[in-house]
Amino acid sequence: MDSSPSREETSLGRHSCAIKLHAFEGPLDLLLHLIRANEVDIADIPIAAISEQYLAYLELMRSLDIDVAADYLLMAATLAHIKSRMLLPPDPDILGEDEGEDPRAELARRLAEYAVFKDAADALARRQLLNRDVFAAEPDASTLPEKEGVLAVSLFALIEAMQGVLGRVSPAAQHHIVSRERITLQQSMIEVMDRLRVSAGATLRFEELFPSGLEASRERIVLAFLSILELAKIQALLIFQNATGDGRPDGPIRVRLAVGDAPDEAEIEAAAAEAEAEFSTRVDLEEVPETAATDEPETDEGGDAW
Amino acid sequence: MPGEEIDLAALEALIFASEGPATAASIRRAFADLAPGSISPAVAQINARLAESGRPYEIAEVAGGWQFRTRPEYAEVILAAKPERKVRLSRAALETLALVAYRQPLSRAEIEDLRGVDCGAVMKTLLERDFVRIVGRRDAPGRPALLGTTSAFLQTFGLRALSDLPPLREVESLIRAPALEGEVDASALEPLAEPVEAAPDENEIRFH
Repeated sequence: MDSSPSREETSLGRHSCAIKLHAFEGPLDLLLHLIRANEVDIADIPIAAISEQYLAYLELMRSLDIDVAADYLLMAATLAHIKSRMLLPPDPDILGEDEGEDPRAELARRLAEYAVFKDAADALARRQLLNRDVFAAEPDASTLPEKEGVLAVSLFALIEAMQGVLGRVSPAAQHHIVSRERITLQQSMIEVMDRLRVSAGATLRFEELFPSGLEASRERIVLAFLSILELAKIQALLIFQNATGDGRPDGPIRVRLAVGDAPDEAEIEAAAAEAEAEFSTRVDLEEVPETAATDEPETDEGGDAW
Repeated sequence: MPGEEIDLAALEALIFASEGPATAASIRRAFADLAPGSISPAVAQINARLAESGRPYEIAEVAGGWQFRTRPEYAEVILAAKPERKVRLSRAALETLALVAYRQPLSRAEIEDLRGVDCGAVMKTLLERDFVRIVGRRDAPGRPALLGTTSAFLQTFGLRALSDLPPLREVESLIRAPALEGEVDASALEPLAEPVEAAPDENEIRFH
């Protein structure tokens, strides 16, 4: 969209080819533009000529694949209606109501009203705008969230918005399919080692080695426990507990990374892989179909035991 | 502090440190025995000093308060540093805002009637940007929301209050004026004004 054509450029008679592209704010804006371009008065619109130009403009918009909004078509109909009323003698039946009234009066009033506000908008735009022409010190961004006001939203607007969001969800996605999160013993061992490493040599309480929050599924906790045992077995970590005077273990169980001849990264990885292989073999046995599992009644089906 | 001798430096400091325009109420809290109407002259004095010493800012009276604002000639350099600050208002937004400002409170349907186009998207933007707010509901079918302008509107357009809006031209003047000079026939049943060539009728047919 280009800037508006100057009045001189668009004169009567050279209509369609003389009209340059201009972003109009609706049918009233377009009509007002044509009226000013033709230098005619709002109160005395040459309806035939103006509606011709109006339709030519709509045609132009269509030829350029610009959507002609229904508002523009309504105005085209209004113009045609006014034109026909002006050609016909006054209807004697309705003579009483608007006797002698110019059929263009209502349109003229709307145009004049629109022109007033269009000018007012121009006047507003010419002011020295904050954050365009003049600037105040920017408020501290960290204080902004507190200044958020209460949204004036109606319940129905919320419901509408919610429906809009739901409408975008594909039918397949509407059902949440619960799938068991899979983590291997190997991954779990690496996690345990990571937790210990993050603590940089300090000891961790036994409980701190376990996943927490949403991650803390039964399966994950059991795997973490197995991991600690496996890692202790290869002496990658050490497990402590204080003893009372009579040698009874007491107090929290603590775990820390082994030092000295502790297995290096590769050895831990290898041990983890080995433990994993052994472990998953056991799990596989448990997961054979029920018919095969029935001869081992102490084994729970599937992963439910976890 | 006596009413006559307002401490200009202190007032300037108060306005400088205020987030948003410093209101008369907050200024009065600081200067207990301030004579009524003495803030504006005091601010004018401060502004005169700022101008004298060539400061690039001044105190503007906006939205019922006073605020330090840079002079327009520095807009370019400020926007160069942070282009995203620039307030952008479309033609549609300005027209809608003008309607709301002058005619408030009014409903969206009334705005659309006056503008002749749908205003949904524009209204949403204006509400989001806090230039317009819902000020009430009309006691009519559907209880349509009534819209009005906000303090942010006054601040952005540098207005002290709504009463500070420039007066509107009279609608009547636009309609009546030509009748005075151009001798328009009041009955106006002549099909066309003179300098106009008749429009070919084929154009209308497409829209029937």
